[in-house]
Amino acid sequence: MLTDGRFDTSTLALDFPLQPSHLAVVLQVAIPVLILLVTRRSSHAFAIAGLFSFLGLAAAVALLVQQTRGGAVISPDSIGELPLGPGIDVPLHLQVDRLSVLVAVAVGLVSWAVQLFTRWYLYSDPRYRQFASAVGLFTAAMELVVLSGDVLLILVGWELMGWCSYLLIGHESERPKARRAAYKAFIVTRIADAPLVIGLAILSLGAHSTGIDAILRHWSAAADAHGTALTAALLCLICAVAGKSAQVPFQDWLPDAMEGPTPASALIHAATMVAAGTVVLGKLVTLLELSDTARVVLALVASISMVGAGVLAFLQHDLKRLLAWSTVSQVGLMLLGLAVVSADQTADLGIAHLLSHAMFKALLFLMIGWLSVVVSGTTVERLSGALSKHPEARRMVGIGLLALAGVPPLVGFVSKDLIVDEAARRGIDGDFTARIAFAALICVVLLTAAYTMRMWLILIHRTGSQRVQVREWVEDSYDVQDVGIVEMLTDLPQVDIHGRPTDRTAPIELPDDLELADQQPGGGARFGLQLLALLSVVGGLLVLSPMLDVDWKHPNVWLIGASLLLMGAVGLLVRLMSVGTVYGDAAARVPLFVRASASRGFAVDSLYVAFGRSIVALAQAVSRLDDVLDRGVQRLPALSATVVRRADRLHTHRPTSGLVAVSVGLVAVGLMGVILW
Amino acid sequence: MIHSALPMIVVGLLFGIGLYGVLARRNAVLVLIGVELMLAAAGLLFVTVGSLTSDAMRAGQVMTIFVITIAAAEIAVALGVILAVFRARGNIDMAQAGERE
Amino acid sequence: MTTYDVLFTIAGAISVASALLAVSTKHLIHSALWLIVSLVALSGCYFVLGAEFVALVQLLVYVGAVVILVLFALMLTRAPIGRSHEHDTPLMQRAAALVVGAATAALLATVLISAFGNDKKRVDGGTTHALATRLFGTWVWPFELLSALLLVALIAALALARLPIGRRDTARGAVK
Repeated sequence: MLTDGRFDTSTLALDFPLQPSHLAVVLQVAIPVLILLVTRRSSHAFAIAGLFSFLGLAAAVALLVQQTRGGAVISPDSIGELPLGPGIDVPLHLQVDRLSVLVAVAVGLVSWAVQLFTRWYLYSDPRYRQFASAVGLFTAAMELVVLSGDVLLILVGWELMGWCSYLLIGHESERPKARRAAYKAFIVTRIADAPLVIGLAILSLGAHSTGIDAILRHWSAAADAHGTALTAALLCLICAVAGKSAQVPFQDWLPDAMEGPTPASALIHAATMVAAGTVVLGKLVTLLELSDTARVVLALVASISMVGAGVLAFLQHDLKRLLAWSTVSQVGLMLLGLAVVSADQTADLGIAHLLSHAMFKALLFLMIGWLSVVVSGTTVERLSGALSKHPEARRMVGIGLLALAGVPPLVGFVSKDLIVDEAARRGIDGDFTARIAFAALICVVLLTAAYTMRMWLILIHRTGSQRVQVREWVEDSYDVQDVGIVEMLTDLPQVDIHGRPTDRTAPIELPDDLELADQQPGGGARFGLQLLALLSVVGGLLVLSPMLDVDWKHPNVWLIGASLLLMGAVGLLVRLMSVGTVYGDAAARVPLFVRASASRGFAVDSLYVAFGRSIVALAQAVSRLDDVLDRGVQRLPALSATVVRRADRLHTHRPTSGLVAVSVGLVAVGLMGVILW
Repeated sequence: MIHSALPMIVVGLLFGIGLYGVLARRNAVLVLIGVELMLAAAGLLFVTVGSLTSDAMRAGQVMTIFVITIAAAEIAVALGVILAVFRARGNIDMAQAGERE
Repeated sequence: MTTYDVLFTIAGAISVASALLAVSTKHLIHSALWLIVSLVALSGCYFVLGAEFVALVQLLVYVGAVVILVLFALMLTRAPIGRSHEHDTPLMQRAAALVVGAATAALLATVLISAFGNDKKRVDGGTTHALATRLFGTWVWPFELLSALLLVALIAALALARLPIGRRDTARGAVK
């Protein structure tokens, strides 16, 4: 393969058509192709998925090394230029720069960890192969979006992600809730995607090219002359980004996406789908700085989503949904990082938070997946005290939550604080957008601390029964067929009306063979988790490297101190609220109807349904109109046939009278022609 | 020199008379006479236009000759049809209702 | 009024008048005879317009052949000699035909006059020699096609004349 290529060992520069940037995408595509074509068994599928996922990560890392040492090809071709004529230029090239390389590595890493974890999580799932394939394709689409230098490729990856998210969320398609969630995710993001096409079309038609570099050049020069067009295009993009990244008003699909298997959630939330919006906007951030309207809109959307999602996260009854809302909140933070950048900066702040979020959110989701397998559920009641029962998971969950809360020196603190700093700096300079952002950021820092603390307290809560060392076996995943109705009736002890054993002195012993074979992930999965945890701790050091161009040398110490103090106070408050509650849930102090409403996302879903209904009603009206027209058209032949039959009956069948009639008609036509002419 | 309106009036009159003949007669042969008059009007129009505009191709006269020839062919076939109808029905009355299906 | 005008008016008037008689007379044979007069007068018109060859062809083909065929047809279909009213159309139909015919005449004349105007124009019939050159030069293929058409018409007329019409009816009756 490398016979005609030259390889430079110091910079890893490769003089060959196939670059690591291609491999990062192609190797991920190979996963679904190979799995679906070659394998029939889950173990083989896992071998392929694990190997190629790792190779894809390796390609991304190689690209990173190339980039740092200056050996990377800046804009490698993909499939060559599309010959669409002289009006528009479609280069379809990739684009390798600092930020895209970093994101590519993060995506590859999270994807690999997810693939390793999935094998354990879906060990007995007959449709594991399909899931692993979808994960591979999903990752490939994200890598394509990250590395593309052409808006057409972005669009391809973007739509592929929408489809893959549908597959992943609807993986357990036998459950109506999962199906509904999948449809919801697909339709909501689809509706939001329509403006994306319009926005990208405006941008590329103006620049006569779909290449991102050409678009940036053209619009930077033409921003004054065509400011309205630029603003319109950017607003379209922001709408699409809000859809993909689950920001207001499209936020409600993301919590419902929790119906998918936990690894899918980890992938969607940590590195791929919701982050895609940040990546795309990050590529076009220099245009964003040229349009104040777009920036204000972006900041408002992100701030509202961020604060609202923070509140909702605190009130969720289901801890997986808590994490989902926290994702909405954190993505809003990334977008604010883009909205507050000043004219001479690039998208480093947003991307930095994207990277840190990818690490700790993947870690948290996979850990929740682990715990949910162990306690068979993700609600507060199930997970309450899960960590005290399974202390081996304690360390990693703790790291993830601390990073999410933004406690120094973890990675979440570093990236979040940089954004807060920047917003404060620009807000003092008098930038309106930055002031909105700063106010929202302060709220979110506190809300994040609150819901993180709440989750931690629930997880480590020791129930009364645990304190007296009485194990009640609550297990509802074995149905009648598994246990056998006769054995159940004969073997189980008497229970009272609440299902509790009447004889408390003889606690039920768990039969050994009913214990799940391994309640802990296998070595590979554990390794992936530990890697993510490690990066969550030390990932903050990345800002010191030249890979990220951020101003870390002038932190606002007072601001940091104040926010840390406030976070501590909030944590303490939450701890106090949780005291005396059954499950250690601080939110239990909030009235029930508020919690119930919050668990449904404040019933935004019904708004979506109403919207969908109105569309459907409109479509039905059109359809009925069409039916009426159709029936009319169908009746035409019968009508003309009737007319012909009448005329036939009137006709004398005498040639002369017929001739007279025809001649009269001809003369009439001729006269009309003469008069009108 | 000739006023170009004169031949046109004759053309119109001949055609109108021919049409009247076609419409007002019941005997098929007389209908045919009307058709001949209409064809004659057409021929006269061809010749008139050909003669009053200098045409190197002589298209007007050539067309008239063609029309006359075609008329001859037409009348031969038409008379054949008329004779066949006469043999079938015993008359050639156009006002008699035709056979229904 | 030029000489051409006078001559054309005379020939045209005779042609139109005899055509009128041909379509209105009650004598069937007279109808055919008036047609001869009309066509002969029309060939006079052709002469006035300088198309002497066409005029001769008109005389030969129409008067010599077509009208003779028509006379034959009238006789073969046992046309009555003398005035006959049994083949008259209803008065309403004749009135309608009159209106339609008059309207057509007026329409045609109006359109043609408005199209060609009423200027005095030189009559340029050309020589027969020139016509012959054109006929057998430029127009030779349509001319040959016409000869084929005549042949087809001949065969068709023959076939029509030999149609077993009367026998078919008897044969059908026999089957019944």
